Order: sequence, then structure tokens, then C-alpha cells
Amino acid sequence: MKRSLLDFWGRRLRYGVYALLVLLGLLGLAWAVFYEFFFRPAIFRAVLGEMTDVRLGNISLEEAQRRAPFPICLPVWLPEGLEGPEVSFHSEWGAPWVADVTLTYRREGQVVLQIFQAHRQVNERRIELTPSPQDLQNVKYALLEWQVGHEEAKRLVNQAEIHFQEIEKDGFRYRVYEMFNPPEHRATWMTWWGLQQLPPPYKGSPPYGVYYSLQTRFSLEEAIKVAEGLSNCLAPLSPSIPSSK
Amino acid sequence: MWAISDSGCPYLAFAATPCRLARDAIAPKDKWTKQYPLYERRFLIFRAYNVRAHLWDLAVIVGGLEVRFPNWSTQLREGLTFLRTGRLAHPEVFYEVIENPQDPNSPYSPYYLGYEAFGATGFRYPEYRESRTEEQAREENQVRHFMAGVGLSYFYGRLGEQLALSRETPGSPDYRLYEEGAFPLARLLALFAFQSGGPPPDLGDWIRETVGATGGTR
Repeated sequence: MKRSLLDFWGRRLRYGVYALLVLLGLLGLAWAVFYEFFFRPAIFRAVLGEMTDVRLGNISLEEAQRRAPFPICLPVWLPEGLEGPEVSFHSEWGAPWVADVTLTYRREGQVVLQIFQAHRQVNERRIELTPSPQDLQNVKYALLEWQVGHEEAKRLVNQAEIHFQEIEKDGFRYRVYEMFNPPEHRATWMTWWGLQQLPPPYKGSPPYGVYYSLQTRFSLEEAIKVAEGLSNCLAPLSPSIPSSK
Repeated sequence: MWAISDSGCPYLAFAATPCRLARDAIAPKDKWTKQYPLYERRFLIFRAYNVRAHLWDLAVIVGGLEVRFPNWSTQLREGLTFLRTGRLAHPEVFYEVIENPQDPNSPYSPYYLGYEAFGATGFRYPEYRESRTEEQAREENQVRHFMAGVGLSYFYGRLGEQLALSRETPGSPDYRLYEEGAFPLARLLALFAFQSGGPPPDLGDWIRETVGATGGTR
């Protein structure tokens, strides 16, 4: 009698433990599904959603002026018949002071001039660099790709010819890459640093300046004239960049 | 049984002598940093290389990776709150960086070392970087992108990869760098570390051949 009672409760206990284990297993499974498919993605969305660079296209000049921490300069002279500018803005997540503005001008719907202005750390060593053969090859590819797309640029890049020179004028030092062959895809890319003294973007920062780059299908003389005329500068309306506490 | 150790302390095998205790008290870290590589641990004849710790530190310091998952009880608590309300009670526990990440003077900022600390020279153009010349490449941050991609893929698998890619334009250099360089490297590391406990040999050559500007030549 006593034994059968023990068997009865023992069996009940055993089944109870089994049921508990199954319940725990189901709970664990539910948690794993929730964790893997809902919870972790939600965390990632929350964290990485905030970590994205700012990229804006076709914005107004005022909007760019409000966002850029440097003066945006417009050319005072341009060849006739150009449409634009289309303004785009980019700044890095985590480093909003690393920002740039691109002005794009078109003629009959085709892009013929792009002026890129960027707030960057001034590094004397970098300015002294002489372009390597690989750099020249890259610039040729970039100028061709800008005009005819990737596939055609890859085909033409080895036939293309480019000339590099440095031109010093009015205190500016223009680094000019002029692709003269093939003649139908003639284009110029030039880069230089602005002379303006800008306030440091944050306390203890290295010196920052404005780095300009101009890419055009105009002749070299016209390109230099546009570059020299970049003097209509709009002061930034940007909020101050967070500094040290 | 007795011998003289390289630090000048006589020691008895498996015993802490007063001299050793004193030496460790003065410079406890030296014991690890002087004799072994930083992420290597030794016990008797065994040697383990902590790839996870090494990658995590690189992903946080170089890549600026900021997401982390706290201990299980915190996750469970936050998960239940999320189930109940659709929001997290303490989102900051999932951030590696809890201070303002936009503050460049905070040591927790991803750009504490400077935005241009690592540059992009060495990456192949136009596949893996936007800058045409060396002069420009020094002001990019592809090394950071690369390390963040390796960390996201290694620690969070497909989910981390998809979320990294979702921030980039398909076909852009950053997108390709993740997909063709960083993620395969993370998978290679995970596979090899699982098999051998250490990183694969000749990893530098693999990186140079895959994403390097000179395509494998020095």
C-alpha cells in the first residue's frame, strides 16, 4: 500500500519535472527566436541608425550654408549657358566638422563643371606630394569615368594621356591634371587649398582649412579663371560643433 | 627545484615566493606585456591567442564600433521591457560608448585619434576608395570602415553585415570594401580561430592581394 502510494507520487513528480523541462525548453526557444529575429535587429537599428553620415543632394544654398562649418564660395565668373548650381552636402558621422559641399553645373543636361569644397585638416606633407604614375592613372580613369562611365573608361584609360603641373598664382598653388588625349574626352581636374584662416573646429584640433577641387570639361584657361573667381564666399550659419566638456 | 628567474627572483616551482610577490606588486602588468604578445596567454605548455579580444579592441578603437551586448540578465530585463512596451528602458547599456560620440575630445569618441589617423592609402582605386591620389587618400577613413566591417561580421554575423551594408550605397567603394574585403576576412578569421585557436598565417598577404592598391606586390 505504502509502496504503491510512493510509486504514484513518484510518477507524478517525474511527469511534473518533465513538464517543467518542456516548458523551460519552450520558453528558451521563444526567447531565442525573439532575441535573434526581433531584439538584436532592434538594437542594431537603434544604434546604427544614429551612426549614419549625412548625405544630402539637391538642397538649397541656405541649407548647405546652415550645415557646412566653412564658407561656401561661389564663382564670380562662369562660361555662358550653364545651368545650376545643384548643391549637395556630406558630413561624417562622429566627425561633423569633416564636411564637404559640391556644386554641379550642367550644359544642355550634361554635367560640365563640378566644384568640390571640403573642410579638411591641413597637412603640409600632403601638399608636397608629387603624383605617382599610379595617381596619374587613377586621375585619368576618374576623368573618363565621369564622362563615359566605368566600362568605357576601363577601355580607354591606357590610351589616355595626362599632364600634371603646378601653377602658383596670387598666393594659391593649383595642382592641375589636364587630360588632353583622347581629345573628345578632354578634361581638367585641379586641386588647391584656400588661404582663409578658419577657427579650429574643436578645442585642441589640428589646423583645418578648405580644400578645393574642380573638375571640368572646359579648357585649362577657363578652368583657372573659374578657380580664381571663387571669391563670392557665404559665411557659415552652422551651429557650433560639440567641444570638450 | 630552485632556480633563478629572468627577473632575478629565486623561485620555487608552483609557489609564490616573497620576492615574486613583491615584483608583481611593483609592476604586475610587466609580467604580461613584457614577455608575451598582448593578446597571448600562456599556461604551462599551453598557449592561447585571444583573437576575439584582439578583434574587439581593433573594432572599437580603429573601427569606432559602438554596439555591444551586456550580460544576460540585463539583456533579459531589457528584452522583456521591449516586448512589453516596444522600447528599451536603458538603451545606453547597448552602446560601447556612453559619452557623446560627437565630442572629439572624449577618449570614447571614434575620432579621438583624429579623423585622418589611418587614412586610405594602400586601398585599391576605384574599387575600395574614392580618392584618386595619395594626397587625397590621406584624408579618407577606409581603414576605419574596414575594421568596423570585420568587427560587425565577426561578432554579429549576417545581421551585423546587413546592417553595415544598409548604410552604404550598393556598388560604392565602402559597400564593396565591406562585402569583398572585411566580411570575407572576418569569416576567414572565425573559421581559422575555431579550428586552431589563433589567427591564420599570411593574413597580411591575403589583405594585400584582396584590397591592396598594388594587387599583392609590395
